[in-house]
Amino acid sequence: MSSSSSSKMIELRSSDGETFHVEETVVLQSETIKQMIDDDCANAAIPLPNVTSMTLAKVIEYIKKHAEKPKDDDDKKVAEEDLKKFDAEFVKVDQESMLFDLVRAANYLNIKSLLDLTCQAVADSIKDLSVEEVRKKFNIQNDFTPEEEAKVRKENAWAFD
Amino acid sequence: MEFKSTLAVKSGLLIPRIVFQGLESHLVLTTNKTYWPIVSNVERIFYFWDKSYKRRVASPRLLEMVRKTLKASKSAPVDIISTMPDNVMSNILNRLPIDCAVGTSILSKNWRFNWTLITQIVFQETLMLDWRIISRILLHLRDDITKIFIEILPPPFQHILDIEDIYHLVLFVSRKGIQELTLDNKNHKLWYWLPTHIFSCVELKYLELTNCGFPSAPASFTGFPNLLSLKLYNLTKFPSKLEDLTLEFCNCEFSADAIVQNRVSSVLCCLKSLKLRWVQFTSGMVGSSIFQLIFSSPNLQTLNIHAAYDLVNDGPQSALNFDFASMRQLQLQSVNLHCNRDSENEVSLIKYLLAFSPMLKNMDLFLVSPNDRDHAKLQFALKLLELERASPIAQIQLCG
Repeated sequence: MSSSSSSKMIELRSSDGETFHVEETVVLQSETIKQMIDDDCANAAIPLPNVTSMTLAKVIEYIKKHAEKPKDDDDKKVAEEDLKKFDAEFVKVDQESMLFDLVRAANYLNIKSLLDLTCQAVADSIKDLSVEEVRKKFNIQNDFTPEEEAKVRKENAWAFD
Repeated sequence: MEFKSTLAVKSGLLIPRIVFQGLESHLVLTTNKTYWPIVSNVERIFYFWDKSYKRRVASPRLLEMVRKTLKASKSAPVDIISTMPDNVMSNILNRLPIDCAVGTSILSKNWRFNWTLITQIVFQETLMLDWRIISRILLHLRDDITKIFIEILPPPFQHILDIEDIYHLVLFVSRKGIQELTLDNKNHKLWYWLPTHIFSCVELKYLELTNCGFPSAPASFTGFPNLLSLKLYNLTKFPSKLEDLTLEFCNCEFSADAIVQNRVSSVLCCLKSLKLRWVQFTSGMVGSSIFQLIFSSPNLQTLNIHAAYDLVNDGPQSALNFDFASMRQLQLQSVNLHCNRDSENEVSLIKYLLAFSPMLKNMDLFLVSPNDRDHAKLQFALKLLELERASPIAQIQLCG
């Protein structure tokens, strides 16, 4: 790959109509967009109807960071550490809904590492909570009758000990 | 392109199935673009229809129906997580401990069977799950099982899973596209032969086995074509795409025999990292096999060897039986050796590694010796200095 190819810019348009210009090499982390580029469908702005400008800005921040290439091996270790820190900070979002927007965007754009990272963050936020706390956190209506709930509990009694 | 009616319900958009079929057929008819093949959720179709292909796709009646349902869905409180596509749900649930994942069945009716989307399970025996529960979980799962981790603990936790159970498990997952399999047998008294079903697990990418025997492969077996990492505490064949290999030779006569029988006949082109534990260099046969393993790995970059030594009881060494003329240059960059300074076989390994590794950056030597006087250390250091080094930048660090 010559360095000139990295300067090609791809235009992305969020659901609320904002456009973003991102280097092709960076945006290729999205399998969905890669497919579009391969099919020669990326000459005009690529519409991303499921992604708001706020989410898209975050996603671009992520893929830009992950596109940085370390110069040598020593640099590589530092870069790996740096990336870990970045990832940990990245999923510390103020609002829960933002995390889910990111999950959705990562899934839609098919960026595996981002999807894994955000799903892990969701899992981490659930795993130490009680059933009631999880219901509250995710707005889940308990539509079981007490009898039904007791039955489900009994089915998998080992999981509720 | 098949549409699941569950998707509609999941997204909170209670659209009659007929509408989906209508949209779907339009979708197929109006576009030959390949970048929309993954029509996995409802919103995507709406947009598609709404923005890009409005005129061509939607009839006014359809448009009205979709608008209404979209409005309705916005007014009700949204259970965000339940509206996620199945693959996302499965990704999240896979990251929860198994009891927590199954526990989500109690959240609501919608959630009752969401946990059956999991594709990866870690069974830690501290959970005290018996085979009855484990098999029930496995039978519930809807998709392939890509990853299984099973831990078998020593007494007093043993016998929750027995060898028969492991056989059934391997058989079951071999038909479910298993990619990562770890059978961590911590009960040293429970040594067993892995069932031959393992050879049917052709999707395997990661295999880690402890304390078990690897059966002879059937003649039709050509290796695990996808295997990238193999961690064994018992020796077997080496798949050709292997990148990372850890072998432990503790109490493992079988493994040493297997190597000696020239099992390392093929070249391990992809192997980049090799860790060897409890290598008995006193045996010339084992030593020769290690030479053979290293020099069959032309792209090896990292080597880490812990020799097994018994300073009091180690008898005289038997000589290496290796064709030194067959040695070729290595790509080794980093070597870490824990070995006996007085062992000729080990010193000769150091010698050949230095001579054949032009890319070597560092070699860390942790040495023990019954002869612990400073003079002996100096002698050894001087001997090291004399050795020819292929790499001009190699740094040798002596510890111990």
